[in-house]
Amino acid sequence: MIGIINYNAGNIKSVVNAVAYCTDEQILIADHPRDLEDCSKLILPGVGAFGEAMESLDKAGFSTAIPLEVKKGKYLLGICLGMQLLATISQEFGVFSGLDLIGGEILPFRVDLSLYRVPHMGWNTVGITKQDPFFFNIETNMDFYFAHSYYFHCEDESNILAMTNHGMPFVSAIRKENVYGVQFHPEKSQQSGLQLIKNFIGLSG
Amino acid sequence: MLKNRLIAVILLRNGQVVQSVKFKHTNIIHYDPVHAIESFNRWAVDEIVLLNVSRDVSTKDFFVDIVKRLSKECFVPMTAGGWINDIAYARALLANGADKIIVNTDAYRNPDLISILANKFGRQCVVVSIDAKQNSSGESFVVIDRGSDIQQVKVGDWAQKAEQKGAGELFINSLDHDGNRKGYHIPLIRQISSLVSIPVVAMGGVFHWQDLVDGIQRAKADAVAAANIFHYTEHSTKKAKQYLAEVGLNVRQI
Repeated sequence: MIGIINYNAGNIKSVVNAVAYCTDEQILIADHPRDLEDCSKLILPGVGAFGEAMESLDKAGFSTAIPLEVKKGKYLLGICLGMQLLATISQEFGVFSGLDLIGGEILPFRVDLSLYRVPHMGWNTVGITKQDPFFFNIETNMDFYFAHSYYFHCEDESNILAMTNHGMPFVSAIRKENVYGVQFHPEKSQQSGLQLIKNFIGLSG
Repeated sequence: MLKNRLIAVILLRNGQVVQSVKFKHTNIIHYDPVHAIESFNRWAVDEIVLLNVSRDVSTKDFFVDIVKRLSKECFVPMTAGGWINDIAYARALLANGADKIIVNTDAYRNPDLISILANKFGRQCVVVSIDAKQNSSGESFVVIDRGSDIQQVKVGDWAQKAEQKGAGELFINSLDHDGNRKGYHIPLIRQISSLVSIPVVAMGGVFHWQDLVDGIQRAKADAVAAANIFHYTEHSTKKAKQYLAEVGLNVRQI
């Protein structure tokens, strides 16, 4: 069963639709931490502001339950804000602690605003820097859909799977052991995105 | 590198896809929007904007159902709006398959709505739609309430304020160009693009594929949108995309 963590932050339906399209496996919209126990894989979606999202995760008890499930070896995929929540700390509208599953800091885009617009919104190329079963059947430099104003500054470069450029290079996919994160929205990136979700569902070991 | 986006806009009145000519929505194009979205999704469109243009506020709930139904087959970003005036309704749209929300009249009347929505859902989620009407001396003023209520505020001023309030993107249409087949209002969109640092979407007036090119090259829009034209040509969004690629624009190839 694939668990999609629901903490009232954004476009959960889009993620559910895409996962349902990709697999016959059962999908559980996890409203409570105990729901996570029944799932073999977890997806942490999210659009919105970091601080508010962490507060919702704390309130619902997810911020202790998610790391526990990850320790059991379950695969976790963070999407967009969900990827950023994996970090140690964020500078978005104040300083907030994250789930600290992958060492890093969430920082605002620092680009020349006369040349590059923020939010970084639209389709951009994802350059694969490290081969991984996650990218099965996905070529490097395919376009994926992004919508964000902050980026994941990764502490340990060996955790980086892919990079993208928007006035500055930034990390667009990340992995530490059984924890994955993507800055783009695979659920909204047509064929390539759906392939990526299939790949995540198919991960084993 | 970030691509220039091609956006298909679907206007819904009481659940039916309609054509817009100067904000009058008299021609029904499709009875069922699913047909429209199926073809756009299969073809080369980068994003879909779904607007409830009904003048009847009681269509709000029905519109959520439509968003829910359409989102099942839509694997490109979908922005939805019309009659959004609070967090609860925005959340209903997002929970049922919208990825972004688009606000206009209520945001103009109460600009704090933009901040409230941006704080809740992130600014990348909040698109502010601005409609413009030119006066006799060529200045563009804000029009609200589905093109019916001309304000004394210049479009540029409102665009900057909307950005300050937390808009993640601006969607600029012109009452003079909408459905008028003469291309985008280039000077207006170029002016707005130069005033803000958030993405700008050009809308209104596309009749030739070259109009889309002009929206990007001359008006400096980040994304180009159209509604009517995409309903009339077979494989329309694909042809539009091919044209953009042929003239050398940086677009997503599929």
